[in-house]
Amino acid sequence: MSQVALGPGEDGDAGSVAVLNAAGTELAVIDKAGAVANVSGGSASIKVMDSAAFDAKYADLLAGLPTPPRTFVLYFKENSVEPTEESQALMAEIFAEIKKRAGADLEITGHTDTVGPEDVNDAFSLRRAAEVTSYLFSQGLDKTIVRIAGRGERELREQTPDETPSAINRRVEVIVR
Amino acid sequence: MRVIGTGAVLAIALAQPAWADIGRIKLASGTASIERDGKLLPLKPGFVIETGDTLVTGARGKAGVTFIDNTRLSAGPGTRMTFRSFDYNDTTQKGRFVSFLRKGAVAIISGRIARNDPQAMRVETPKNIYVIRRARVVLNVK
Repeated sequence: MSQVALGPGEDGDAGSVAVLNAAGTELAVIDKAGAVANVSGGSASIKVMDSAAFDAKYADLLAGLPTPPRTFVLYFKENSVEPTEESQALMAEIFAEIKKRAGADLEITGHTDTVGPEDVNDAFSLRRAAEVTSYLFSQGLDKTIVRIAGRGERELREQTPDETPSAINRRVEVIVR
Repeated sequence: MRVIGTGAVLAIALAQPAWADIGRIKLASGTASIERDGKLLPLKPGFVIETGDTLVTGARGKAGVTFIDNTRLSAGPGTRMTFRSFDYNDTTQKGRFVSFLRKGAVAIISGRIARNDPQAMRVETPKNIYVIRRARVVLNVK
């Protein structure tokens, strides 16, 4: 016997869950906040409770969820790995956020704008992330809690055509988890 | 900020996916452990979760985990859950996450793996399989 309950999504969209039997055949899909599927092997029975009841019913379990990750966005001068002045000021806030969280870890991810070939941007975005990481290490950041990545031009903050300079897209995101 | 050449090289070296790290414990209370290679390891915030680990909580135990794709999980008392496989690419943010909930209760808020591929996040139970597609769910196994 197992059961799945779908809560209201963090962004308002409940999303969905597919229920399969052990062989992988789909028995049901639930996609409404408050839906509950009681499942036993080959059968699933579905009820829908009030979506507000979800939070009350599972209050203890939901209270045990870790704090959502917080993202800090650092911006860079054009063709440079040097952050803008505003972004340099954010560094102290990043350290404060790490202190607030027990067992914190960080993801430092670089992004570029659409100027230049994709593979060059992949490498450049990783280099930007590495520069920020080096700086944070020099300020005392624990080296064992960091992952770094380069996303190149895959995740634009401002949608632009190819080969378009964009100060908003040239950035490093520091995600504190 | 200065441009620190050698530091950058070091940081890039750190970014290489040799890490077994798939997530970290953020909260633990009561009896809460990871079973790894037949040993029970006590949990505290910052404990690093690896593929193949089994999260085990006692009658009053609880644990919270944030995975590297931002998936968040809370395990209630009397839970036994194995993180069977976790593949994740930091650049594409795609991967696959399969776990096995033997018993107990967990709340899960899915992360990037589920967001970027609706088939990629699965929680298996002794008799059924749940495919979680960008959702906030509670799963119970009796």
